[in-house]
Amino acid sequence: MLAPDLPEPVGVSTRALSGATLTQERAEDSLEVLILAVAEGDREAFHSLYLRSSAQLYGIILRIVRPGDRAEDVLQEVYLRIWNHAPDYRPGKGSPMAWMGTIARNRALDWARRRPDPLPLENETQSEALDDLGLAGIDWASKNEDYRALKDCLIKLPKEQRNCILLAFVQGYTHEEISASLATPLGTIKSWIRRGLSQLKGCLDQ
Amino acid sequence: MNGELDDMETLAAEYVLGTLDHAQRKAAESRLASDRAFARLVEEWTQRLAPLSQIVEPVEPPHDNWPAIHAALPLERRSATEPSRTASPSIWARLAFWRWSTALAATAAAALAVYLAVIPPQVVPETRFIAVLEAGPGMPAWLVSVDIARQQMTVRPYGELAVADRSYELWLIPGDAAQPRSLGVLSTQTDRIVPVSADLSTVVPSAAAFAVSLEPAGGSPTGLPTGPVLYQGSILPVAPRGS
Repeated sequence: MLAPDLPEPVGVSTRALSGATLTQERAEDSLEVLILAVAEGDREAFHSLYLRSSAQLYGIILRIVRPGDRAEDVLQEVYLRIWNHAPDYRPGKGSPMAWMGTIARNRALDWARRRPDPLPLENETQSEALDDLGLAGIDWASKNEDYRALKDCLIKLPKEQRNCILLAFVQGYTHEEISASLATPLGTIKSWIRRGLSQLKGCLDQ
Repeated sequence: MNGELDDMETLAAEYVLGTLDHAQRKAAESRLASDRAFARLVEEWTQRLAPLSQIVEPVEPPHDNWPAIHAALPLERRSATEPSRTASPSIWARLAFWRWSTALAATAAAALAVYLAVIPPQVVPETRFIAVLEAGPGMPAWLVSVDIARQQMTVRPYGELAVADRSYELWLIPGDAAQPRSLGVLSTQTDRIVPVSADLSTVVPSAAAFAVSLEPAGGSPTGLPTGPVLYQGSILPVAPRGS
């Protein structure tokens, strides 16, 4: 099911300071405040941040690193980066989880790309299975606003373009790996991705 | 219909997407450091695509990695100039209690009394404090950092705060139900550095909260808030070394 009815995000008026609006706390809120405290050097806030986010980041890393890489080593590196870069975090620029997820992806990609020869891919990745990877079975309502906007634009892409983008982003595949996995020429893959990204930008920036 | 992405933007987008090989990635990263236009494109694409990482199901790591992470942390923050201090109750332990208990100064004063009753006295006086001033849950707008040893506080704006023909004014809300004390008008674009006088440094540790009100341009004409209080946050000691 691609587009179930989504609940509206909880709105809070910028002027509202009544008790009603101040008592409702959502999951993302605390992460933001935690990162700001970590930026000030608070180690216990950092521990809370670890407890709240490590499963999500470990899931991201596991998808991208290759067999033989120690995903937990990557996870530890990622948290040291989060500690070091917390002072650069800006609440206006995306959700805390998106910010931490970017750090996790970048470290995992660095590890995955260190190998000179790509490992053979598992054959289970068939194009038919890809929509499961990306868009089915997801609890959309639990995702935040940015995510829903991106999803709305992704589902407008032709399926082959969407699959390439998801394989790259979620699995950390290179052009060559996507080409092998979809049994499609490299030039075609590159062109799909380029067009997909262009269309995604047009849709998201509207 | 959308125009094609040019080569630079394609490279930026593919860097974020993750399709580049090792050499291309490293080349893109060195370009990031030297080419501002490229860095801006990478940032834009990061904002577009980063929410997608929520698609991945969480997986609990097989071991508790916290001890290793904690052991590897540098002793001090990079920019820290403070001498090390003994452990103090963490900001987070206090935050849970404090966070929404300061809607009004009077409420805050009452909360302070409870707070003082439940937190044991400090062995070492606190010298650094922060306050995240929010419009509501998860809507931080200003970060106030107070460094009493260095006799200054920094007020950093986040996000789009600019308003025409009005000024934001920062207030210290004392914990003893005294009147709010003006700390001056804020900039919505840059950090505002406020000197911390000896007098102020004795008030901050026991004060309840900072608040920001919207005032006529140039600040409140009366010395007390006249406009709506749009942002507030309680004052929390910083614990640089968790227990």
